[in-house]
Amino acid sequence: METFWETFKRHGVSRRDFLKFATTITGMMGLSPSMIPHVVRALETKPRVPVLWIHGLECTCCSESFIRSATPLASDVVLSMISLEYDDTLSAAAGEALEKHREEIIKRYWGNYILAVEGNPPLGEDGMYCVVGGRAFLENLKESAKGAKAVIAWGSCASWGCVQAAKPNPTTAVPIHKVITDKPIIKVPGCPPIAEVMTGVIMYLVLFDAIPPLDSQGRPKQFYGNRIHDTCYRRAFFNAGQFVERFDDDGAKKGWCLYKVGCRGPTTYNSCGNIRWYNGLSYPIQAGHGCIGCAEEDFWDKAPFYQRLTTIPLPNVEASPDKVGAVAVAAAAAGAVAHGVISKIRNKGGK
Amino acid sequence: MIEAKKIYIFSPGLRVWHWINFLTIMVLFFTGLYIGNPFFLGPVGVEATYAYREGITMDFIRKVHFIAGYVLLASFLFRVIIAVFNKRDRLVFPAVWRKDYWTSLKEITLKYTFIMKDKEGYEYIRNALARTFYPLVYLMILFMIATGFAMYGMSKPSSFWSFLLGWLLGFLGGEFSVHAWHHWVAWLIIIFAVLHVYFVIREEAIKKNGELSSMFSGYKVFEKEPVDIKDIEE
Amino acid sequence: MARVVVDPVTRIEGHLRIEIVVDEKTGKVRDAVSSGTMWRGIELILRGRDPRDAWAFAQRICGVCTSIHALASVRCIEDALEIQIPKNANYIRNIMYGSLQVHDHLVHFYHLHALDWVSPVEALKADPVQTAVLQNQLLEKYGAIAEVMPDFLAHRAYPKKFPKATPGYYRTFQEKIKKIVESGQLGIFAAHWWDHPDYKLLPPEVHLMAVAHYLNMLDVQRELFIPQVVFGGKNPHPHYLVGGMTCSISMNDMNAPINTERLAVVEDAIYTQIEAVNLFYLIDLLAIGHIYVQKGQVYGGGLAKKRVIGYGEFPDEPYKGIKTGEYHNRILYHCNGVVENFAEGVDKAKYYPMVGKDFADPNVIQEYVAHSWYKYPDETKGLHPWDGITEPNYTGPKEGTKTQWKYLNEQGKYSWIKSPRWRGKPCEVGPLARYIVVYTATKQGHIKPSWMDEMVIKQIDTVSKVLDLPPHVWLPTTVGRTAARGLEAQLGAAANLYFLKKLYDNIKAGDTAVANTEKWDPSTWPKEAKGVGITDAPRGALGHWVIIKDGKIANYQCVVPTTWNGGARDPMGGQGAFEECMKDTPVKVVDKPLEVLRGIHSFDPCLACSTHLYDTEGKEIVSIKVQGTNTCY
Repeated sequence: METFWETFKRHGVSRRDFLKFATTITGMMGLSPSMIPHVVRALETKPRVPVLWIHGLECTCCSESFIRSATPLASDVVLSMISLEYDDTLSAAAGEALEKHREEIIKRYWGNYILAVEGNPPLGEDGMYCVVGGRAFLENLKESAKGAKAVIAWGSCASWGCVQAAKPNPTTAVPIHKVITDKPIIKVPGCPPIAEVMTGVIMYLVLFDAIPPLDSQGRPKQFYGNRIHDTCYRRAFFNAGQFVERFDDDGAKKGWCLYKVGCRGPTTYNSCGNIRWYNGLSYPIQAGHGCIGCAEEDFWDKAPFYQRLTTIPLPNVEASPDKVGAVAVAAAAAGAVAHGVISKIRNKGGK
Repeated sequence: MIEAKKIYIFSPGLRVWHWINFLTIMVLFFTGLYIGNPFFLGPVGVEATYAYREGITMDFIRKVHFIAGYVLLASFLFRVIIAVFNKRDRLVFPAVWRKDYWTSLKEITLKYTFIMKDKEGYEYIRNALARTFYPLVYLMILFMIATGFAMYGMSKPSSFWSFLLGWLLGFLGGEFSVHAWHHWVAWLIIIFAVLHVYFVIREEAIKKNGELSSMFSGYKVFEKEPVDIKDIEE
Repeated sequence: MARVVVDPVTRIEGHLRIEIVVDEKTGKVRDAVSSGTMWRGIELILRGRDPRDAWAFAQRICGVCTSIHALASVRCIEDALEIQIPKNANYIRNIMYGSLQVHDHLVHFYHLHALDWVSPVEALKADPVQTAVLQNQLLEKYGAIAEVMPDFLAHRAYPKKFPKATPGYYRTFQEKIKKIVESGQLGIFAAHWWDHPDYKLLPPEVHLMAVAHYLNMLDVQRELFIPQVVFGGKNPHPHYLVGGMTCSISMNDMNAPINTERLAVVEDAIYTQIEAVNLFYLIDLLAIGHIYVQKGQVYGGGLAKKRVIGYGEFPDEPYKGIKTGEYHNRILYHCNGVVENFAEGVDKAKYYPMVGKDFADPNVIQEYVAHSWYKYPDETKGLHPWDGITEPNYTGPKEGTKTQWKYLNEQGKYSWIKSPRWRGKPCEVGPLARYIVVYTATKQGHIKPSWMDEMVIKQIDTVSKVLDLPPHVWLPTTVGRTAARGLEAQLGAAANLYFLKKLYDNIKAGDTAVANTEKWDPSTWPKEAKGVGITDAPRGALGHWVIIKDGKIANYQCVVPTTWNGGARDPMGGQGAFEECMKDTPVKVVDKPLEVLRGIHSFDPCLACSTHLYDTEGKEIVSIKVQGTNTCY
């Protein structure tokens, strides 16, 4: 496998431009300038990594997001940084020929390829709610993971379970870490993840031949370290207590904080506030809709999306903690008064 | 009938802690309610960045909440320390292994359901119901401190607090759920507080035993020798 | 006879398996089986949820045709709760819809479909100098197609995206491909049937041009969706709102979601759409399609020859309800109808309109499960979405084991896709279906054509002239299906400009409202309500049906395009469009059925859409009487 430097040479890129590229990349990855020589060495020596990108129960929004990446462009990633050997969405080949190719890649690059998983396996009906090549996707997943160097869990499906795992989870869909237990898994949650976050993760893997630093949930710290709320351009309005009360009201036109119409920014870890979507063009809050928390575990079951605190399922009642709490305190006080009166009467009379 | 006896129950440290605890919980509760649902808007017509000069903002209320949180944490630690040095302050856990706990539990249940009169039966430094609930309250306060500082700490992912407590958020089903938990338990503490105040007043009204003032003076009057007197005497 | 299996079918959304029975001597496909091999149950998950959240769940049915299920869902809830959205919200939603049409069709053509027509291996044989010459010639030869498109704003000084017709440009791409091939790491080009004779139909220069544009458009496609990112905050899966949109407009506030700068970003993106479609997509499409037609590839029409259906799109102004018929009074794209036997000629074709009341009529649209892995009490009958009963009933294959298939059982159950039918009959849906409906309805005089309908007629007539064939010959074919998609992308881009101008004019008139929140609070809702939300998705007619009770979703049903096209057979023996298309396609190399794959790809299959279905016992039989007005005369 050829190195980045060789690839660049082949394209007629000068050494000088190559070093410039390395410096830019170093800055983009948030590394100190002292890391430049390492980056240069990485670009000179690391071969193109074979990637198998398999699809389970999903909606392909992750693949769609991936190709929206502008820095790096998806074409540069797919054709020059990695070698995308199997992908349901982009591979030219189909059927048996492609399945054979997958098996061959696993054998040839045993221990050296990256497995990227979009979607997740259903366990119900022996996994036959998702069939690939006449077999359960579950088997395909286990088989493909065995020889992988590392596994990327694309999106909230692979990371947490996402929409098909929302109650009542009819197919018993599970996140991939329930099935793959002996490999390092990089979770890249979001529905879908931000394009530049996806290519950023691949870039890190390729450049440094290592798993990016992960948080306690298994997410890359450089992309999921902060809450959207703490990086939001509307944060000043939150601090000031200036809130949108209703969609398209005066506050909405002024771009005030969406906290009161259910924004999940305060509890969602993602790069929407800083990297934003489409290379910084916008993100849901900028378009006036609160964050729905799509990068968080079980966010579907924390609906309704337009309320701050989740309710408990009481028939025909919107039961948020504060409503129930206020009623319970009032009941406790009333009970106490009644109890007191009876106690007084009961304890009357001689000793 | 033996002489009524004044017994020294609450150490000065405990009394100070009790009132600080009361005040911080009240501050935390009401600021917390606002933070969860900002029912009045901050200064309008002011540039958001400079709103802090213009009256009560979310930022100010949150600051109060966080300061009160630190006070709660400090007072909780103080409470633990005095318990280490003073036997009187270790009266925390229900003595379920002792027979008098179960006798007390039976008696207090009968009294509160109006079957027994309050002055009948034995006397206790602390009845079994109180002994059962106080440790739960300590646990609830600890829970509030832990979840509160976990959420607070995560605004700086490399901070001490997120290192110490960050894992808790994932453990409790994500930060969004932790917010809800933080609210549920806050209300439980307030329900406890309401009932606590009621039972203190009730005790005072029926027995006139100085229950109400004991948290200021430290002394309470007993007509009989309390069964569990050994728990507070050296 | 040989039975050939292709599983997985790639370059589609989701998981699809096809099996064909081929006569080795003649290459004729005797029978074909299409099976959706995934199922998630999103409709069941939607039950009991807040109707205002439904769009977000429904949107996750598909991330390729992202936003379309959200649109159908908000329309459905608004129909149930009788909410009329503001004018601006209608224009914005139309621009988001039009952008989806452009993006989805273009990405389908280049990145999911092109490699059925062209090959990077053939491109290596091309002469870059000749390719540059060819590019110039093609722009001259087919450039007239751009002229059928009106420019409502005329703000673009000159095209910013223009095909490069220089040898150096093509040489660069050729060298890149060469290096990939030489490195032995073929990546996405690995293991395909590059030796198939069909790849010899085109001259190498066309291959090189198309492959270069495949890569070029991979870099450009992201820009086509910019309007969704501005109005909906992200893409894929932008945000919608029941009652309108959230992107408030203000020219007085610096932090408003929409101001002049944001509108300029949208406008620029729409011009990029126009350039990508007019100068790349349509030119390449006509160049490739023309040669394939000249080489006699006018097959693959299948069901399109017999029956097609569309629902209608682009409401010019806000409307009061869909089942009331108001929606169809306002639309500009009159593809709402059924056309039978178009292949016999536009004069002999039979046209039936589809309007509001038809979507509430229990006899018009029904779903069957006789050959799908679901259970009905009486599987000889179909059920309207509002009355649906389904439980999964997986039965395994004909040959092989339950978890390791060899051949599926087309006599029994064989797919996770149900079989929707129009009055008991199968129909094809998609751009081709819509073009057939508009063309027939206009030519036969059933409708008063809008500017959009007229543009469709102009497009079809222009292509007919290029191919020198009447529409009823070239349209219902695999090439025609792919061509209709490209033409519709052009229509979508034109619509975007039109609605952007309307948005400007309306803001100028002083109206900045984007959301109607009068019925935001559930306390304002009726105890029970039923709604239908329709749209014409990139892949075809899409409908959502909802029943709301006590402020919660009691039942939610979707009948989606790939269910129409890719569904299993019905108990009367009728086959869906995929199967009919395969049967209408001869195969040259039995174990490399490229022609069949190309035919299937021409539908742009979306399996996550078609197989999301799961509706448990819908106990209440709902019959709704609505007043429909038929404007299609």
